Amino acid sequence: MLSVSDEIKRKLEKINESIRKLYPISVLDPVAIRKRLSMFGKFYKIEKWKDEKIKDWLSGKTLVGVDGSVNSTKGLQTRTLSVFQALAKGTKGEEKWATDVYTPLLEEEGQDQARQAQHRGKLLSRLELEVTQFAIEKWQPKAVMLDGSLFHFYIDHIEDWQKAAKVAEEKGVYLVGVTEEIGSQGLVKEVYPELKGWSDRDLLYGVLEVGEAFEWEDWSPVGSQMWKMALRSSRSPLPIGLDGLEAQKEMRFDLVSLVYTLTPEQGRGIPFWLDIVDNQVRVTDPLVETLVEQYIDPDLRHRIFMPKRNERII
Amino acid sequence: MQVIGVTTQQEVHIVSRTRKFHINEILVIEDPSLQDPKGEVVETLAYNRLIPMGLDKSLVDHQILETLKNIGYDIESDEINVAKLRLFEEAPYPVRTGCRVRLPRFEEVRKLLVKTTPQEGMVLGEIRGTESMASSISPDLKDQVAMLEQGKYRPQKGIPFLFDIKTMQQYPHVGIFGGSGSGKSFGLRVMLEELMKLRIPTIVFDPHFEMDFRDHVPELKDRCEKLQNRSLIVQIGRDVGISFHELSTRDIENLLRAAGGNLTDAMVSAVQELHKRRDSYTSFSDRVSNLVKAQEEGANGLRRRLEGSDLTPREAEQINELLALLKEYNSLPAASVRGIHWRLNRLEKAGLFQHDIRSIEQGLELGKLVVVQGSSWVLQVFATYVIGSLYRKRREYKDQKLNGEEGRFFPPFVIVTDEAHNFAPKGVDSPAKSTLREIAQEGRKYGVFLFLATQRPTLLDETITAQLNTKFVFRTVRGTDIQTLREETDLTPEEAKRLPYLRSGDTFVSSAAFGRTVFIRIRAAYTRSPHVENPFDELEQVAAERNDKVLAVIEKHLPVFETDLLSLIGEIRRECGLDWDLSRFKQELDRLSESGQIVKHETPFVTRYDRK
Ligand SMILES: Nc1ncnc2c1ncn2[C@@H]1O[C@H](COP(=O)(O)OP(=O)(O)O)[C@@H](O)[C@H]1O
Ligand SMILES: [Mg+2]
Repeated sequence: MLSVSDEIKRKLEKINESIRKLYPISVLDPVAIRKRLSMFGKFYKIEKWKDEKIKDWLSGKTLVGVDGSVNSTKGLQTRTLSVFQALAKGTKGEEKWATDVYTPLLEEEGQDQARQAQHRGKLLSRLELEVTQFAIEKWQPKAVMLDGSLFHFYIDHIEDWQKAAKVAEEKGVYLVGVTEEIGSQGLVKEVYPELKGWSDRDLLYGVLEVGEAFEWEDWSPVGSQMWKMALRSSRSPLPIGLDGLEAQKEMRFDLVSLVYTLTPEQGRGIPFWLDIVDNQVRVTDPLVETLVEQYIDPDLRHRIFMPKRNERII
Repeated sequence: MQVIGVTTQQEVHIVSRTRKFHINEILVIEDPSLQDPKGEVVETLAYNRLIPMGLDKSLVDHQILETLKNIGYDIESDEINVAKLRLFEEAPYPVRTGCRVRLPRFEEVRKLLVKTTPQEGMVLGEIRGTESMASSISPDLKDQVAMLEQGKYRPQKGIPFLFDIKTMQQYPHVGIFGGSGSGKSFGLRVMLEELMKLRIPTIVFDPHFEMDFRDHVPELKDRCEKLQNRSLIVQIGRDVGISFHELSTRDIENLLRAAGGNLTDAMVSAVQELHKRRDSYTSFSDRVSNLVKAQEEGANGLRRRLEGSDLTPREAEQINELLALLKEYNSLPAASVRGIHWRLNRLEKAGLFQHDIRSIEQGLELGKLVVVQGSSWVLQVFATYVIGSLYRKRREYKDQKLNGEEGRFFPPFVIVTDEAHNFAPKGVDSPAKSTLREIAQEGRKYGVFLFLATQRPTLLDETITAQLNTKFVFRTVRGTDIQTLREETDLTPEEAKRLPYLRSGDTFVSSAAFGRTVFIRIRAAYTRSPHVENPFDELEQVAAERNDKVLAVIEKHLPVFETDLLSLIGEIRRECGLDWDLSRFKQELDRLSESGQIVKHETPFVTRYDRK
C-alpha cells in the first residue's frame, strides 16, 4: 500500500461527508422510491424471448447494430488530430463503414475546448446517421439498435437525424437507442424536486428488478417525438435507457424484449450485438498512432502531434 | 487483402476478412512506386475478436451467441486473417500501409521458382503455397509429379520443385537432415529415382537394406517404367569385396582401424613392418597368424620341440620358419600382433576379401545406380575403400586429361549415404572421414558429388556440413540440431520455429543455387522399399496365419474329446511345427472357444470341443 499523507486522508473524509449530505440514507430506500415512482409512471415485467420467437419476429430480416468511435492524438487541445469511425453491422454479415478525420489546427479561427467537443460530437453523429440510413435503405432490416440514445442525435445533428427517422418510418424499420447510463435529470426533478444535483440514474439505482422496465410518459422532451424507458437488463443494479420513435411507440415492448433477450445477464447491460460492433469500430490508440505515422510527414508529426510526454522515461 | 500496420523494407503484415492465408504462398503487393514487390507468407494467424471478449464472461454469452447464430449470424465471418509477408527483395523504402495485395499469376513468379526443366532437372516435389496458381501454370510444368498425402495419392496442384543438378558444378553437394520418421529415406529414394532418370552414375551405401527399386507402386506404374534396369544391388562379401593385393600399407591400417576402433602406435608400426608390397590376403594373414603362433610358444619352446624326436622333415621345416619369423620380428609386442590378427580375422569373416569392386565400376560406367548393402560396420570399412578407390580413378583420369594424356575414361559420379554421421562423425576419427572431407572440398573439380543424409546434423563433421551447398531440412525436434541447422542454413527464426511440427515429407530447401529457402513437399516415390511392413502388423499376421493352420488341423477331427487330445498334439507338431504339451494345447483350445471359433461343451463326465 502506498503511504498516503494525513492531509489527503482528511480531505477525502470531508468529501465523503459532503456527498453523504447530498444522498442521505433516508431517501435511498428502494421501496419508498418505487412507491413514489409508481405515482408518475408504470413498471413492466419484460420476458426474454425464446429463439423461435425472436426468429419469428425478425421474419428472416437482418438485425443491425450501429456504433461509432473517435480517438485523438495525445497533446495540447489545439494540436490534436482526431480519427472518426462509424459502423453499421448486420447479423447476416452486412457491414457499412464511414470514416473521417479532423484537426482544429485547420479551423479558420481558434476554437475553445467546448466548441471542439461539440464539433466532434456532431461529426460522429453525422457518420453514425450516415451508416444507419444506408443500412435502412440497402438492407431492409427489421430493426436497428444504436449505441447511445436517439435523443442525442436530435441534439447533435437534428437535420440528419430527422432524415434518418423519416426513412425508418417509411420503410417500417424499427429504431431503438440503447444507453448504458441514463444521463437525464427530468425524472428526479419531477419526483423529488428537493434533491438537488441528482440525476435519474442515481434515482433508479437498484430500484428495478432484473428484467423490469419503467416508463414515464413525459421523459422525452416534447419536440423530440420519442418514447423512453429504463430497463434493468442484467444483474447490474444500474438500469439502461432505451428510446425510440413516437411513431413506432406501439412496438416499444417488442424492442425492449429484443434488447433484453440479447443482453448477457452478467454484462454491463447492453446487447451483445452492440458489444461486438463497439469492439470492431473502436479507434484504438495504436490505430491513431499508426495512421499518423504513415500519413503525416515526420517533421510535422514531431513538431505538432507528438506530446513531450511520449519521451518521458519513467 | 491489404497491407496494414507498421511496415519495413523487408516485411509487411497483411489482413483479409475473407481469405485464409497459406503459409509460404507468394503474394504481390500493388505498390507501383516499388514495382509491385512480391513476397512470401512466413507466418499466419487467424483471430476472432469475439473470442477474447467472450473469454472472461460466462456461459450466458455463449447462449446469446447461439441466439445470434440462430438468427443468421456466422461467427466465422468475424474472423480476421493476418499474415506476415517477407519480401523477396528488400525495398528501397517501406511499403505503404493500405496497399492492396493480390495473388500472383504464374508467369510473374516463374523465374523465382523454376530454374530448369522437368526433363533436365530432378523433379523432387511440389512447392508448398503455390496451389493458388494452379490455373495459370504453363503446360510444360503441369502433371509432373504425383503426391502422397495422408496415405492417398493425388495429382499435382501447385508448381513442381525442380532441382537443377547442373548447378552442382558451382554449388556442390546435398545434405538431407531430419529426425526419425521425418521423411529422409523417402526423400532420398525420390532423389535416387531422379538420378536414375537422368542416368547419373551413383553409388549408394544402404545400411538399412531399404534402397531397392524393383518394387513399383501400382498406383503410379506408368511413371516408373523408365527406371527399369537402371539400378544394381550388390552385397559386400557376396558380390563385392576388396582386392587385398591392391591395398597399400596405409589402406590396411585404415581397414584394421575400421574393424575395431583406433590402432595403437605399436600396432601401426607392426602393420608397417609386416605388410609387404603385393601381399595377397593369404600371404599377409599367414605371416601374421604364424607370428602369433611363434610368439605364443616362444623361441625356447620352439627349439625344444625341434630337438624332440619323431618330427617329420615337413614339421621341422615349419618350426624353423616360425623361428625365423620370430627372429625377424622380435621387436613387435605380442599384444599388438594379436590385435592385428583378431581384426584381420573379423574382416575375413565378413567376406571382405573374397571379391573385388569390378561390378561397381562397371555399373557406374553404364550410368547405373549401384546400391551397396552390408551391415553397418562392414559398410563403413568397405565404403572407405571403395570411395577412395573410385575417387582416385576419376581424379587420375581428369588429371591425365589435363596433362594432355589419353587416360581410361571413368565417369563423374554421385555418392549417397544415409546415417552419414557414422561415416564422418564430428570430433572423432573415422576411416572414411578424410576421403569424404577431401571430396567435400575438392570433389566438384572432378565431378564427384555427395548426397549425405543424417538425423543428427550436430554429429556430422562440420567441415563437410559447411560444404553441403543445398540442404533439405525435414522435421527436427531436438533443440541442438535445430541450432546447428540454423547456423548452417539461412532458415529464418520463423522457419526454425516450424521445424518440430513439419509433416513427414515436408521440407525446407535451403540452397545456394536457389538463393532463398523454398518450402516443398517431396513427391510420391514411384518405387517402394521391400520392407514396408509394420512390425506389429507382421506380428498380427504371423499369429493369424498360425491360428488358421492350427484350426485347419483341429477341424478335420471335430468333435474331439479331451481324451483324444494327445494324438492331435502329434499331428499339430507335424503339420504346424508347434511343439505343444497337453496343458498348452488346452489353453489354445480355450482361447479358440473364447473367440468363438470352436465351441466347448463341458459335462461332469467329459469335455468336448465341437464346431460352432
Ligand atoms: N514425401 C512423402 N509423402 C508421403 N509420405 C511420406 C513422405 N515422406 C515420408 N512419408 C511417410 O513417412 C514415413 C517415414 O518416412 P522415412 O523416410 O522412413 O523417415 P526417416 O527416414 O526420416 O526416418 C514413410 O514411411 C512415409 O509413410
Ligand atoms: Mg530412414
